[in-house]
Amino acid sequence: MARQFITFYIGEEWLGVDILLVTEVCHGVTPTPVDLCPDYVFGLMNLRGKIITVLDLACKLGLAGRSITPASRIIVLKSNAELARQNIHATLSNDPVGLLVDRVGDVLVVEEEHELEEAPAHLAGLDGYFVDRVVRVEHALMTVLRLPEVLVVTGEEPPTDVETDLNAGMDDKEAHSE
Amino acid sequence: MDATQKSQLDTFVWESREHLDLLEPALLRLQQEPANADLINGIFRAAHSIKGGAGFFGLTHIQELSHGLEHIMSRVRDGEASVTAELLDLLLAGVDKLRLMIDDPEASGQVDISNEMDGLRGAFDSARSPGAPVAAGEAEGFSGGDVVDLAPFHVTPEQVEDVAKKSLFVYRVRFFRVAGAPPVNYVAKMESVGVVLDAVTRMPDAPGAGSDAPDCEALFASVLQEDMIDIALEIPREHYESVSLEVLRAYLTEGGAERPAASVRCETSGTALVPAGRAERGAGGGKAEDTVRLPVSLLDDLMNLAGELVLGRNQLLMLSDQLSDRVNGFTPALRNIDRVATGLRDKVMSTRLQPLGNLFNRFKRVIRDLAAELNRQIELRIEGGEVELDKSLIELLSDPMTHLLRNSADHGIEPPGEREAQGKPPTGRITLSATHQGGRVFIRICDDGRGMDPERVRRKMVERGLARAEDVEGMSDRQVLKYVFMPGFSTAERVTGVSGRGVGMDVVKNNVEKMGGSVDLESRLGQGTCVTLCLPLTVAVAPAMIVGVRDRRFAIPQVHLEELVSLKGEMTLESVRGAPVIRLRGRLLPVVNVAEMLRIEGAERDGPQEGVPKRAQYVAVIKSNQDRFGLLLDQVMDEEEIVVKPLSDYVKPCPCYSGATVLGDGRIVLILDTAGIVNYAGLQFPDENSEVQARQEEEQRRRQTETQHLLLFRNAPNDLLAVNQELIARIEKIRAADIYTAAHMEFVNYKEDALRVIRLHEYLPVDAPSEPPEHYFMLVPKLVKKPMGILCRSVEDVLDWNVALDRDRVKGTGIMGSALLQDELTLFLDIYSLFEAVDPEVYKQEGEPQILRGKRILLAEDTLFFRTLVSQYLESLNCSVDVAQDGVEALDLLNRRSYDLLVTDLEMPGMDGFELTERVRASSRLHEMPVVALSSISKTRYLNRALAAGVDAYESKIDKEQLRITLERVLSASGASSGEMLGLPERTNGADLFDLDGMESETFSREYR
Repeated sequence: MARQFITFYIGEEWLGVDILLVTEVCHGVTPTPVDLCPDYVFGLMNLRGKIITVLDLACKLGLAGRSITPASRIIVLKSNAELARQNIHATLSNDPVGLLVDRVGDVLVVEEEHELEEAPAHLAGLDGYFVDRVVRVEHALMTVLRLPEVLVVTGEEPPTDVETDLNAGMDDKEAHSE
Repeated sequence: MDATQKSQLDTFVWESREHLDLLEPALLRLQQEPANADLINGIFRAAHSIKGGAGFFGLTHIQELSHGLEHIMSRVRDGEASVTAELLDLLLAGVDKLRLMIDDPEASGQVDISNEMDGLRGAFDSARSPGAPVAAGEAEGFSGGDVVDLAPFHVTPEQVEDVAKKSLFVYRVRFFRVAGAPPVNYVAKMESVGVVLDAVTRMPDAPGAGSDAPDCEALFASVLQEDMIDIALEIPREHYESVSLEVLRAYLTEGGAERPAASVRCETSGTALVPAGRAERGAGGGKAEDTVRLPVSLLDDLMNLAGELVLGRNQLLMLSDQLSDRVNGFTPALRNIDRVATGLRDKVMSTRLQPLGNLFNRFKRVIRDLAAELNRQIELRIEGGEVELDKSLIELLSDPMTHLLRNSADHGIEPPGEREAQGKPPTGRITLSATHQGGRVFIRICDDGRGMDPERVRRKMVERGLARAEDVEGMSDRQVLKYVFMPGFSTAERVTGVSGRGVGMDVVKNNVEKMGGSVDLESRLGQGTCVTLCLPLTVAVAPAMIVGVRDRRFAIPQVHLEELVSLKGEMTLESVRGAPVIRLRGRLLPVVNVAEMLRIEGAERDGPQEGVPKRAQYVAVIKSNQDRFGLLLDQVMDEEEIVVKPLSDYVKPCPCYSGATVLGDGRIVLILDTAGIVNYAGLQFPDENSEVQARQEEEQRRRQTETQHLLLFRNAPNDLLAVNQELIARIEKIRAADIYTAAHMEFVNYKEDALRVIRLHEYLPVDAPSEPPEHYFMLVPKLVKKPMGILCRSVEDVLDWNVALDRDRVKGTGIMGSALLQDELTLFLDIYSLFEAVDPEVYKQEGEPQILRGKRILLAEDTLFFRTLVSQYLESLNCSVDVAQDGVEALDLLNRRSYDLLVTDLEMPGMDGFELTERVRASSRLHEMPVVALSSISKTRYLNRALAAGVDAYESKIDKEQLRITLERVLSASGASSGEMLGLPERTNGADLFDLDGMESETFSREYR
């Protein structure tokens, strides 16, 4: 059975997720930043009254730093409740989540299951932990992400010692600039 | 158990809970009205319904116990047993056990019910007169014979028609409930080969009595022939017989179809199982009401959508300026949507609200048990049960309130002997009351017991190391009582099983504060204690202040916000050991630099630049639990009603936020978590017990009672004006071009009528707008005789502010006084005197109010604003007015001086207007004093209570004209009857009385409507 993938780019990396897991692709929104959160939390976005947590995919995947351009998009994924309602057997996140990507590419239709290959042992720039399958299209390689792994809440405990905190906050302002 | 059975069981559980909720109050009422047949029947039915359901699911323990209850009630009903306290105890214990089992029906089989059953059996035996036959045969069972009796079954015409259409055979089947397997299993088996039209179970009549007859029956339709049934259903041939279609049809016409049958239902000895939510709801006489059960999550979704609709409406409103000129009929259509959207949101919000009465009634039982346990006589009075509160809050209130009631019963109310020795009635009274005031709900738990001894509290404070002896000396009694809420404090000299178990008032306080509320305690030695809980109406929507830090916006819940301090003037940020502080009324307040704490960066620019708000201009004073601290902010924007939404798992670990919300403009802001900030910022608080601070707190508290909602606006850029928001009905934006002149006056068309508009600079010492604007805002006051629109240039803000009003700095007609708000001198408008100046014809009092001239009036009112407003008005009527700030002060003045009339607010701290009136009526010297009650909310809710307390009339404090008429009426009435006895120096003459006759009947009809 043919599967469709929404593809997108983080830098030069060509990535994709199954279209069935995606609610919509948004652009032109500026998420509200959440200070003191783990770096990969980009902010909160209002999608018709629903609050969507936007994750910085580049940061989560350990790729190059975040930069917002007019081409940036937010891919909003279905929450577990929505998946269950639509009878899609997948587990993503309990909360509605959006992924910030540099730009989106075409929707890729993969006709045969065998076109989806196991990931090669060494994948340039991307941690194999996040890779589900790959698809070869001519000379390019599209990586299908393992979304459950991408969406894991890695609770970097925020530092609690205040004295040092406040001082540190004043010293390394550049480190946090967006 | 499959899903259908599970859902049936769930239905049984909540139905049974409803029955239990009705049983308890009904039993308690039975104590007072032991002969009330309706009540007895209600209890019987409720127990019976539970029994029926339990039998159906094979929950034998629930079934046995509810049967026991039912059985006793049947004896009571038939007059064979009388209602005694012992019997009620037994029944209540049974109800408790039932509740326990129904909470977890699947484990109910393990619950030991032998005590309860023995008790009930004992009561049953003693009730039975010797020699009388044991009640039996009520459920005679199945009476064979040729004629098939279908009596217990319910069938619908649809079912019968279906049977006829499909040519099914109908059988009456009897079967045994297999031990361990509920009949529902057997019914499922039958459903596999046919259709069960109805099923019933029968109970052995006496608890524990066995029976050889099959105990379940079903009306069963199937394609199977008669000789196949025994094989298919695995029952002996004699346990079923055929029912012909004719018999079935005949039964139908006899009335077997009166009630719609559930797909499967169960039934016992002849009495109907009452479906919950239908016409009758078991015991207690619950009122008939059409109800639908909805999951709360659905309501939340609706709430979200309604919020979105309001948002969409806002966007449309923004577009309307461009569209309204081009599209005909656009504005009215938009207005319509506006109204509908707002209405919808309000309605959806109200779905979360439930009356507090449900919770309050539960405490009747608590008090009854406590009274028995503690050997007290206690009467629980409940007032305001109709006041509504968010469902989730009501659930959270149960524990703190139980604790407070226990305290009242245990520590407050004295044993009867002790009470009598003190000249009190032997029965103590605990009053549980709820009132709704300004978007918050106040719950008061008052007792007339021994009260708290401040000296004892002082001693305890020192003993427990909560304060130093020298500090304690200087504290007022009121401050001392606050320490009751400190952790580790319990005044119980002895620890009883009832209270004093380590869970103290601090837990109550914490719980209430978690709900966004506050607790206050007043106590008078020998007279009683009163605890007031102040709660927000709903947790879902909360007022919050939107503030700005760099480019970020945050919301601070209004409940935690004490005041806003501007750093523009003399107030500056200081530094103590490197930590920022401000000096607020002589006290150091630690300040958290929010930008630094959250590590928010912004372009480092020096000095103010265009478009960039100045840094660190305000300090928001936050009170979180016991701690008070400041948050350093750049901007203060707006107050908004926000819908609190939970944070996602990704954001939850962040320590400083309690939620997020979507603002009216679609932006998301995070809600600051004040308690979290205290922890995260590791704030150190100065010595909490210092005397200075205690004094400040006292002052703070006093100031808080004078909070009012102000609407700030400008006529010209340099004059800031304020008016109490409660006096304004609407604010409309109008076009300058729509104002027209007629008869030397200016008008606009408003609500299909010509409304006169006035420009403030023509009447007040304020500037005119330098150039006429295109649009004006028009304030439309409410509750005035003939409304006029007040034009202004811009509406600035709506604020809750504690104002000290200066009445001398700026004086003049139409001005009440002035005050500094946000460092700007603000003029407070007196709408009444302004209107009087504008239109003396209408606003001048018709006829000189002779009757009020020279009368000495005492005004008791806690709010400065209304105190000023009403006293000025009364003075303008040539009365001499003394003011008291609360009931205590008023009573003191009444005792020392002589007055012609008492005008009192109903809601006041300390002694309220009700109590004040009661005391006046109880006093031998004052009891004929005319009393007029005032309320800011002119609703009939207080009317009865106020009349019961003994007031002569009840008026809204903002309707001046009506107030005058009422005062005149009351004075004239009392002048005729009691003036002499009170020794009033001034007499009212007969002419006045005559003049007022017409008005009197008019005001009466208005009041009692």
